[in-house]
Amino acid sequence: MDKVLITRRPLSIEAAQRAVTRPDCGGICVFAGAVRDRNEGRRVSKIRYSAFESMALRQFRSIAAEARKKFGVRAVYIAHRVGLLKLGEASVVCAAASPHRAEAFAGCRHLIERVKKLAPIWKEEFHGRGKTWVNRA
Amino acid sequence: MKVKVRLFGFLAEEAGRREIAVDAETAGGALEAAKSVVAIPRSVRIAVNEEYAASKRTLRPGDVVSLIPPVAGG
Repeated sequence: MDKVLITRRPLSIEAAQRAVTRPDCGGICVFAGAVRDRNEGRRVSKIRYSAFESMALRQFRSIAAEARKKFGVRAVYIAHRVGLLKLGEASVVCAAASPHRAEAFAGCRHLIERVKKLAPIWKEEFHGRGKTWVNRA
Repeated sequence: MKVKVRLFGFLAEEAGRREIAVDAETAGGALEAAKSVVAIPRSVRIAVNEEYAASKRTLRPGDVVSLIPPVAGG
């Protein structure tokens, strides 16, 4: 089964690993994205994430289904954090499990790329004096 | 037809609210109508009932339109 969630609480890589562990899968790939201290040449002190949660969860489920279909992964985990995050904290954790490693790597890569592209989630970066909405065009 | 339009990210911040009601027949029409409340850049996408939708999508009674600013998850 796939597990998808959006939470205000710290994310856990172990929880991701546990969620996708199954006896027929020898390859488990876990990716974590963390808050970085700079973006586009500017120092970042913290980030606030917000989401259209019900739609984001729908997107997560459909991304999980894509990864199963395209790469044959057998279990998927996608978790995204919302709220105020400090530097170094994980904002997203994705995991994919499959019988062998190649599909697990490819599937996990697919998860994070599609989450970044599709999930209705936004971030405000805080720096010295103010804040900016990332990707605001 | 009266339609509920939900705003997110900087759109909600700049409009000072998360939801407005507009008169529209299509998803794109709802976006256009929302411009009376907040400036909407071309990069904003439209969702109808929590799925991305084309602007020409015809709205039905009870549909909820959401305006999705460029996403930045991950």
